[in-house]
Amino acid sequence: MKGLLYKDFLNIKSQLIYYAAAVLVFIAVSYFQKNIYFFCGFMLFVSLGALMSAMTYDQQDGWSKFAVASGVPKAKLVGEKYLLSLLLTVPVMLLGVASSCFLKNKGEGVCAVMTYGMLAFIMTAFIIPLFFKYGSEMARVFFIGGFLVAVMLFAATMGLADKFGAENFYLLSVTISAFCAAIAFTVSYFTSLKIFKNKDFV
Amino acid sequence: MDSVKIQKLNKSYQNFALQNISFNVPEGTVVGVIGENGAGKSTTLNCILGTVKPDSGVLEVFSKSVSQLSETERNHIGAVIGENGLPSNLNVKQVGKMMKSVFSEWNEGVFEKYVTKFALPAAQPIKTLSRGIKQKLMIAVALSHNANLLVLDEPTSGLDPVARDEIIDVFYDFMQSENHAMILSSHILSDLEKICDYILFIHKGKQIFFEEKDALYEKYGILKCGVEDFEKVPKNAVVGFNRTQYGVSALVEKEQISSKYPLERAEIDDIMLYFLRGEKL
Repeated sequence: MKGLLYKDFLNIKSQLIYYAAAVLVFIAVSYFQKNIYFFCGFMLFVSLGALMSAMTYDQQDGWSKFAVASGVPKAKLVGEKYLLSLLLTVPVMLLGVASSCFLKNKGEGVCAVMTYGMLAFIMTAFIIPLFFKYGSEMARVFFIGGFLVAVMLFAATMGLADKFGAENFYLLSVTISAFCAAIAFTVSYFTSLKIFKNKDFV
Repeated sequence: MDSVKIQKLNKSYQNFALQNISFNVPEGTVVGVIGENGAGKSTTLNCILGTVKPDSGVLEVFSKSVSQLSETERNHIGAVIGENGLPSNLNVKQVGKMMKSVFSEWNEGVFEKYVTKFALPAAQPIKTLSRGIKQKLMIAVALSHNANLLVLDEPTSGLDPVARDEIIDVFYDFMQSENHAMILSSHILSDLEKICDYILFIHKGKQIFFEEKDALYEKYGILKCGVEDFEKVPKNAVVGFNRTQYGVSALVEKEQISSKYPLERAEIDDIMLYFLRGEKL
């Protein structure tokens, strides 16, 4: 998978530079505003946006058809995209966790970053099979719609923190989202594999 | 041994159906696939490569079902499926580096040899290269991972005559090895005449014939005669005919034609045109 990851990172190299700069800006904004959620929302956008760019390049280039024709195993082609998602999301999450340590509410900040990170994985779990099945347009519609829904949902649930007790709520949100992310990622991988195996590359 | 064996291959789409395609590609031979646009050439090649799932039929490569080939065996198939496929943001050097990790038997030395031979610019992104250069790069990649079978969909399209000649020479070199085989589709029939041992002709999803190239030359000829003489020719000897200002020009089966009629040699494109566009008796 090293070669496949090398290709994807070269494809999105210029975008990653802009994203990295933007991530630093949003860390600064979150720090000065004392609100980690600025960073969390953008973290979601970056990790999903970069993944979708990589997959869109593959679609435009006709790479998947060529790779399958040349004997690259379909499981490898599919698995690489999930690995790419991890490699794009985890470093940004770690950056967010590190940044949270400078905030007043460290615990809330870390939990928020972790929860949004898990949400990124949950959305990835939908986006990758949608992309394989329907292409970039449908995946992009889900990405934008899903992103807006996720942010609104989180904003709406923030009120529950007071009801359940903040510490319990944040820990619960991390636990539940991590559990959902693990299940979603696993189901998504096997769904993507099935779609890929039955797909006609024309 | 057959590198490829296909029996009664069927594949249907909404407005098209590939029906009962049967042929084999013995080791050490080259099969050329001809047919008009949309005939089913690419669909046939895609079925061999595993990019399209056939509806039914026997499809074996290296004596194994395509779906059961191991990764190593699949890496022994080199594919050129048009000018697209390689990551367009990468340059030639980066493609070589990438392929080293993609193919278990990637041969860097062979790839460098073809990069030099084809004068491929190493540092320019693929998206800035001309169609012909992209095609050459695809061929270089296909030849650089120890392939025993090459499956090529119009590999010389977009190339100038000098480049095409160069590529055909490369294919000749590839075929020096007895356990190598090649199957290629092309609209440039003169290229197929230079290199192919067998010709598979597909028309509207159906197999018209699968014959040895030399046998085709022996079997068919072009008869040019007046209308009156043409009326004396046995109807079942005529594959197709055209009316000309001097009479009639027809593709005929030599065996059934009297020796008093001089016949011209029928090239592959003549055979194809008369089959497809000639009037039938």
